Amino acid sequence: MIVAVAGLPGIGKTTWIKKQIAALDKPVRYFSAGEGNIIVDRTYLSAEFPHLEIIDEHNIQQLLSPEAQNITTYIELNWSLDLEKINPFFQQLQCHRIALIAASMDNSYWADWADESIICSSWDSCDNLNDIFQINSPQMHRLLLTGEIVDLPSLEVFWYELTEGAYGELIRAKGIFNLVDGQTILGNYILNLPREDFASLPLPYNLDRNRFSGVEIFGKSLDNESIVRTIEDCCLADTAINYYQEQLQIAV
Amino acid sequence: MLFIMKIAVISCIHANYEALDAVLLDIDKQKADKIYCLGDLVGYGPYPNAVIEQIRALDIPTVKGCWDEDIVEGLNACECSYPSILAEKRGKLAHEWTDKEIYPEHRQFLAELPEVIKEENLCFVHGSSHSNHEYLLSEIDAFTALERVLSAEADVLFCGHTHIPYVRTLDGGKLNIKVDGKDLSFNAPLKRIINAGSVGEPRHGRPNATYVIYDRNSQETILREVEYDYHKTCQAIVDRGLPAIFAWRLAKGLEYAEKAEDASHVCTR
Repeated sequence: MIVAVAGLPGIGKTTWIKKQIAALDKPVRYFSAGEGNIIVDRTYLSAEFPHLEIIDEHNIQQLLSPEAQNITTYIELNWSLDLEKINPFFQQLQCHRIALIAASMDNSYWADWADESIICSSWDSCDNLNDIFQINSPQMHRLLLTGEIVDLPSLEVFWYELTEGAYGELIRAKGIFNLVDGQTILGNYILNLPREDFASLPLPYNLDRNRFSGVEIFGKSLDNESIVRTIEDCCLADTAINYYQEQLQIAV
Repeated sequence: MLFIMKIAVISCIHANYEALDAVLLDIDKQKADKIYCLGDLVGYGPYPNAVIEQIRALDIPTVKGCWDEDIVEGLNACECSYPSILAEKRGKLAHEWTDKEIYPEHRQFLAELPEVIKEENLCFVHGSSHSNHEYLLSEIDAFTALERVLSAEADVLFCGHTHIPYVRTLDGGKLNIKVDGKDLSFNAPLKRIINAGSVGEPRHGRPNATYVIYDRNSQETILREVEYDYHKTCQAIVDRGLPAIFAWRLAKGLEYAEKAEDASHVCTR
């Protein structure tokens, strides 16, 4: 069985898929379509389910084989994808299409594409969703930070400023960041919902600096230059990282 | 000095001329006999020269703040000044901007400011009686708080630096020590620490300026909060080439950068 899930940013696609995977006791595969190199959702689910098999864009053809139906596979469609443009692929694919929708907006774009629509509550606190998502062309900014180690107190200041509107009208932000002690943390924000603390991912502490790190920011009138500069200012210098990690390795 | 009953204490103006102007008007309305300033005339804000000119013109007794010291001697912050590398980078940027803007005679004025002013049983410092970089937060442990007032040889220690105004009364000042096997105890008389908050860079969640009125006769302390047109300062921050995030933070009452949060930290410099 292959299930494709689409919907607004922040509607809860990854959370919905996580619940389905958690309820299964057999092998599961996951493909995040349209994530590009900012693989936040994939990294998050891989951390939660170490045995989850990840399909990347280079081998999606395997989903078209008849055998593909034997393994439960979830495909998460990034909001930035044009459903009409990718429709030819989905016409070849035998899959169940699910749209996660908000009760308070016109959902015809998603509902027309889907076999099944599920109402989710994550945007219930916003009563002007049509305005938020359809007027003034919201912008998506993606920043790859792999190789960078962030200073957590600095990141917390930046995240506070970002989510309080210092760099423009933020709608959605999610990011994975690596700390100098080897922890990996997740930042997650949805407009009008309470700001959550960074969550440590259940991954072994790892000093390898090539671990994925990146952030996806979605909003209006965003000052991208200031965002990038501030995130860069949150990153530790190589000398500081090397010194700290040497001390850590000696201590361990 | 004896006829001076009501004093106003201002601190941490941080080159915010609009806020200083509003506070001076308010002090005038409160009919204070004398004004003292606890330093940090410059740093982060857009009008360092105008603020110094005003302080000089009014001949306000002023102690040297950590930002004033850094403009004279170069950056000399200790680890308790910056809780994050982002704050440190922003602080350095503000320092470099101010360093370019400041007039030579104003730098000299800052260089000549005293570290401490004593007026009978009152002591005026920027951070603490030990260092103008040290944060005397309201939650600091009682022993340290009492030690700082006693070492100032005062009954009332006026400080700033934390940007949050408070009055702390130390009325349980009993010290027990052992010297050469003998137990000695001392009872310290009632002492006070009064933090004047910040004129130009508040961090109490509102952009309003804060300062203190103290009546030497009744010992009544009034923490004043003064509204002013902070939008003008915010616009000047942007117009004069300082980072726009300083303006955003000022408007939110968050300080331009951020400050040490660890009340138990005692500066060892």
